[in-house]
Amino acid sequence: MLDRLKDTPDDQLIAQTLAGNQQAFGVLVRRYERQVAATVLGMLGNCTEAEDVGQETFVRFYKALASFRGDSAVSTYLTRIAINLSLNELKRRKRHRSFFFFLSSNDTEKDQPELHLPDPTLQHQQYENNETVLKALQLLDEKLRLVAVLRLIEGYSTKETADLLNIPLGTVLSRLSRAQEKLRQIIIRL
Amino acid sequence: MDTYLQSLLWRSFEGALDAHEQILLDEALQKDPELALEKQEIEALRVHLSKQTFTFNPQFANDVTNRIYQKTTQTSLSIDGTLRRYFPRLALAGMVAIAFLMAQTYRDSGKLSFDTLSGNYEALYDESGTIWSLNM
Repeated sequence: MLDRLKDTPDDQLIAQTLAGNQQAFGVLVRRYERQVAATVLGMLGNCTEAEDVGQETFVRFYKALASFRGDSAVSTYLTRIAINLSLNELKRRKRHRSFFFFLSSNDTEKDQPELHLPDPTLQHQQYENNETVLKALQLLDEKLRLVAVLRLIEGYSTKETADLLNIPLGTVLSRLSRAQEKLRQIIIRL
Repeated sequence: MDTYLQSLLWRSFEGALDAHEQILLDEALQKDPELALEKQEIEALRVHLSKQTFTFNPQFANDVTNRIYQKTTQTSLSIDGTLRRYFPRLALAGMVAIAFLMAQTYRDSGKLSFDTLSGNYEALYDESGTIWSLNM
């Protein structure tokens, strides 16, 4: 059954899900989970909340299925939901930090990703170090990180990134330049 | 480093250069080792980021479908979940109220003590510590 559904187009899977076939929705989840993971983990880092945000993305999609008219691709629709939920999670983290800041002055430091710095003489090889690059990504400003995740990790074009974020193409290009420059500086500093 | 050339370099990664700009950039890359190094580093960064693969736990799809099934059949939230969700808001509201009341007490009595906080602004004690007069 699952094998048969694997090659079924998205619109048919959606129709089957709406008709009560839960396996059809499971196939949609499997089809797009890596893409949602890229958005969510790229934005939030590898943390426990990321999995919840990922699940919530699909739950919201499921709830919206009846009104999904297919104006945009499922992948784009899911990415939009994942972006919004990731940004909400980042806002929640900020509120949480400012609420509890007085309990521990080191709290902010704890929430920052830990940086295990490799030997500075190996600067160039640091681009090959997964952990270092991903942690550097987490140190970027949210807006820059979002553009970097969509363009550089997920591979959306600059035009698609602009459409997804509803910002001008020029803004995407400038944020992308700043994101890459900052990433480069962070990685060189490490 | 020339900022114009640097901006050309950044834009070149998105294919946004015209023929004249491309020639300028190519010449600059040959003359300026710093710019050439920057290009090399950005290329390495972009290649690395594009190769990244992200995955949730292997049971992710099952977790999602289970969660959806539970959500549609079980409408009430667990007490544990509700407490976790609302505790920070309740705690914040409580702390704001306490801070407000303490500030009010301090403004009215000029000091903060157990007596003033409990409303006895001018409690008088005898030597044994027994209150013998309250001026509220």
